[in-house]
Amino acid sequence: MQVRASLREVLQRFQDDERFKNHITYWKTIPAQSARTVPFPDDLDWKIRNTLQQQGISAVYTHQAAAFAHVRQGRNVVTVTPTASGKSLCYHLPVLQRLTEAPETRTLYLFPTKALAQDQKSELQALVEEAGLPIASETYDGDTPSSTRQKIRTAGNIVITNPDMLHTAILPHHTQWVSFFEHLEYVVIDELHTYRGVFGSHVANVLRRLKRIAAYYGGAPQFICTSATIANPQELAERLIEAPVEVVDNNGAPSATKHFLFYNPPVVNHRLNIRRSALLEARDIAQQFLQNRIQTIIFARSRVRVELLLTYLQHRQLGAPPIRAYRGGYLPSERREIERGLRQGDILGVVSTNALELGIDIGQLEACVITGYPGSIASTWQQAGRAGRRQGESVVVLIGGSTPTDQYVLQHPEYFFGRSPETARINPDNLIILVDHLKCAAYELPFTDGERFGGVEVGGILEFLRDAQILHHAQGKWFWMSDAFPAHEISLRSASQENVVIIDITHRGSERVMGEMDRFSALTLLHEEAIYLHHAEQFQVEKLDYAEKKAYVRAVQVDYYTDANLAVELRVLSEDATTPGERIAFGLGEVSVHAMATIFKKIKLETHENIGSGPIHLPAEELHTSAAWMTFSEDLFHQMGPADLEQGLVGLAHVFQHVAPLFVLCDPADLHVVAQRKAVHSGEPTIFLYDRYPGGVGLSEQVYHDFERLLTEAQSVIEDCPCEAGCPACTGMGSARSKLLARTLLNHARQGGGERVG
Amino acid sequence: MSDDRAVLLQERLARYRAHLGMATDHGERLLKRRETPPSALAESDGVTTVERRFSLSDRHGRYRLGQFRDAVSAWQTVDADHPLSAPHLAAEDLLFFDTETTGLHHGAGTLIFLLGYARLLDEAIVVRQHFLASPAAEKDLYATFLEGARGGQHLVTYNGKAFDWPLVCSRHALLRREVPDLPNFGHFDLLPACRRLWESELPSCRLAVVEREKLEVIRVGDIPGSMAPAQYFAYLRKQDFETIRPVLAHNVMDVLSLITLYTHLSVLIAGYRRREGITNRERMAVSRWYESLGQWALAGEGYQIVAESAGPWQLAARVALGRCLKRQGDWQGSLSTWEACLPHLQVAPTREAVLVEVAKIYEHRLGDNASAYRYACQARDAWRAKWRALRQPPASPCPHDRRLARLQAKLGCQGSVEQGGTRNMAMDGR
Ligand SMILES: [Zn+2]
Repeated sequence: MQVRASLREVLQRFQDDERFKNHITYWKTIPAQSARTVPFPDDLDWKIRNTLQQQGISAVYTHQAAAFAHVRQGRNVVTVTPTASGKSLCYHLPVLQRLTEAPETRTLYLFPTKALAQDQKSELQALVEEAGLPIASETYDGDTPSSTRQKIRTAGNIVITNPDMLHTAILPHHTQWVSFFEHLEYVVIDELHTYRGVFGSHVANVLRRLKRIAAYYGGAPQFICTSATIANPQELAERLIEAPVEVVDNNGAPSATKHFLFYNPPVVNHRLNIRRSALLEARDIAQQFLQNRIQTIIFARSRVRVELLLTYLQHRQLGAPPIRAYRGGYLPSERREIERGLRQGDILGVVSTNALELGIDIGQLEACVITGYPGSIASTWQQAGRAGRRQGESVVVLIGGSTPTDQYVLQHPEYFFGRSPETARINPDNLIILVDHLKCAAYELPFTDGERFGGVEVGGILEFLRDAQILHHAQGKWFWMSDAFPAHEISLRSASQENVVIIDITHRGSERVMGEMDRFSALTLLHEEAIYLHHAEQFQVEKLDYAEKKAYVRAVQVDYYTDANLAVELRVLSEDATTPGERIAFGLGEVSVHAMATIFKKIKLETHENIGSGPIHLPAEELHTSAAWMTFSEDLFHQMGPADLEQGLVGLAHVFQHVAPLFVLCDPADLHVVAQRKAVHSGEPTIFLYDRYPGGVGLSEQVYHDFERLLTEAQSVIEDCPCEAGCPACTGMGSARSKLLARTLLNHARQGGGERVG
Repeated sequence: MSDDRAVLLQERLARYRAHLGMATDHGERLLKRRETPPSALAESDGVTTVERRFSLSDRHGRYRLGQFRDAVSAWQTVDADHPLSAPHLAAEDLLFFDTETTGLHHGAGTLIFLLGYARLLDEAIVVRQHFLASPAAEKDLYATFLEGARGGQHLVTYNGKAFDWPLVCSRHALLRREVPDLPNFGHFDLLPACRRLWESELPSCRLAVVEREKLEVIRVGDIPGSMAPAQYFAYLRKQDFETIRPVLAHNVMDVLSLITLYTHLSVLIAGYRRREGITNRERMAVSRWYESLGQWALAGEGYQIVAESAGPWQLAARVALGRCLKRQGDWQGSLSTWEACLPHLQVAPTREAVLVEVAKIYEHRLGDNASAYRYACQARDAWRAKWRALRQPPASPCPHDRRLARLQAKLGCQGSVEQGGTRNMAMDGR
């Protein structure tokens, strides 16, 4: 009879067994924390108290009490706590409390997705029902039947929705929501950290519109936010709502000891620095847990990998409780079933895409295996948060993939543990996003001369819109004068209106629009034969109708991704800030990018081998955006020669492309890097990093301010890489000397950095 | 903002035109100095009210305008609880109402720039139009409308329940503190009526189509309603009243057509028993409408007329007549009506339904189980024939089996009832 090992014994095995111990590059033990609670707030209604007590809650955590107190004193608040720390009570309690005092009060709950909204509705309704409070709470989204909509508009105490609905359905129709806006006291924003980049910049403007409409009806709602751990929750919240915000981070929820292991698969090809497949390593490590009946969640980065892992593990688990897959789009009932299965021991393991990352509750497990770095510190912590019970130890194993980003993180644990998580950037004043929402706002209510939008002076933009015959100015007011409905033309998920619509044609007869993408990104991501990832599922582009702006895609399962080459001409239009120096200078400004896709390569997922290529026939695109750049002195021409200089720049650009997104918290595709031997504006060797979104969302500003650190990190990537002459994980494989030449350039730069004056 | 920065901003905006989904014109028009704003003189006169009178003897399409008074009184001749019936209304109470707007969306940015209505006033038809000469004067627009429409009780519109009136309410909500409340108008929306009567024969139920095909209204030099927003935008730019005049003329035609349409619909619906001026197709549609309202006697009268005339609607009218007679408790009447049309009924679903109805009357009302059984068997045969015609096995067991079994038991027959399920179908197929 097989004797099962405990979690502790499995961990001991990892420390002893040659198979594992040599590849565990870092082992951190996070000590247990006991619960810190305080009695219920004095002013908490007895009905709410009773209900909590019936659920076994006799006190509140310190952070819940702090959030409650701030809200009661009329302040905006953002609570920053890890997964499963009871954060939803931080807003439910003050909102319900207020409703016991003033039943006519209205509250808006905003969640980034429909699924989260549905989850929270069930939780909230259960609470309200048990407390016997006469509170109507309902989701308002695309699935809400029109008969219910009317009722929600006129009588919903708590309206649960997402920013897209607020943008297209609620604000433009505010005249149907008069009593809602007249009594709107609170706006709850959950998962605040997801509102960053383009999406966050849009949402900030939607909130400007919300506040403007609320003010029109005589209100000024208070904001109650929660966020996962990021470096700048207060800054983000204050930029989003444009008002002072108190931060609550005294997490009082208990946690048990947690082990966090970094596991880097062994190198199997030294010349090319190729490592053993993370997927196979994940299988072997997960098996150590599963065969000892330790409940485990395994994260993989794509649906294909989820399926593969599931198959591997099921093969080895005959007779044991089943292992289930979890992907995006599951209904709450299906999640409940998995959760129940885990609780009752009917389900031993779950293999999931990052669909589970976002706040959706499936309970807590003992072990978590993350296959490949999820892309940001914040989302890694969110996935890791799936393991960790109130009592008993838990373990998280992060297995490195062979991408440069993965390798950087695996080899620099201090990046992950040492520094605070990433900064979430938004740029609500991105001119394109701002103009788009100004149109929506003007549609909703005419602007008055001198009126500001958020903090922005908008007279010039209103004039522009008048000249474009969209607004009409009369008697000090700016009237919407077009038969268009602007919110329908503006997607919160992309920066420009000129989008390519992505149509899934997998199932004949039930073709569906699955998303859209800006034209510039479409050049490299939606060309014919491209593999397009959607919620971790693979699709192949069958046809791109560029004139009609439609891409037709079909679901596939392949073991490669595609990577397109973009021929770029970049011109500096204006220099907004410069940091001059003797050998190297930095700049920031607006650029025009003329880009043309040339060819694409098919690259094998695990090994990064090039397994095929093809041409791309698409017209050139023009992009106006912001960029940061570093310029080397001209004398490098003579010192290195033009050919070597170019190769060095290309190698360095390759490193930046992988390292920079780590420091500005963005998708690598959102920040492009281009090297020019002779920049048009200065004639000097230059590397540009530009925002992919028209107008920029603040990524290049941050690069500009962090250039020194970027150089330091780039240097350590090159020095620490075990390859000989350059590999995909560092300077790329453009030439046999790229590593050497990039190093030469860096040394040159490091000897004389600039004084910052910009 | 300093001048330099203002120019820079305009330059950036011009560069971003493509990203903003606007046509690029390389900023030429944008950077040139803008025209002077419209003169204050034109603006101060924020709302223009135009009034036109028409004689009751003026003809608009197939009726004289004054005939709508006969239409109102025609409703007094039928004892019908009908959505277009106006037993308590006088002709003077009706407001034939239509708007012109800056768009077709319902959002807060769609403006009504013209409110037009026709009504009977001092023995004439008066069309009054309130035109929003400046969007800043919306408050005055609704104030003058509420004043001008005073005394009206009941709106007559075309799609006004779904579009015009909700939009009026939406605009009014924005001004609710500055203007009096909207009256609680009654409302006849004529679009649903047109759909019921003519959807199957007209290419669409747009007012222009109905005018042409049913009302004999001919418009000369009319601009289409879809041009109205663009005309209004052009008017605002040029401040030239001539630009908007065609829209006003179009709106006059619209409200006059509402009078003719209401007259015609009343003639058809209230006067559906008349031999002239109504087709059997229309009479069927009117009768179906009465039937859906539970007005069995009125519906039956209409069906009766069609049933007695030769033509394509005869059989359908007889089947429907049987239904109405049954609803009124006239079992014998409905039975004889249905039995008479059964030999002519070939279409499987209708035939099957009628057979079931007949079987039910024999079983439950007349206690004649043998006849009921005979008809139920025929119903089962019709059901089988339907599936045979579809060339596929039935999706569910035969719905008549239970009735057959029950009747067989009542008749005291021995031997099992033939099952109507798939097994038999397979045998039939051999
Ligand atoms: Zn390398």
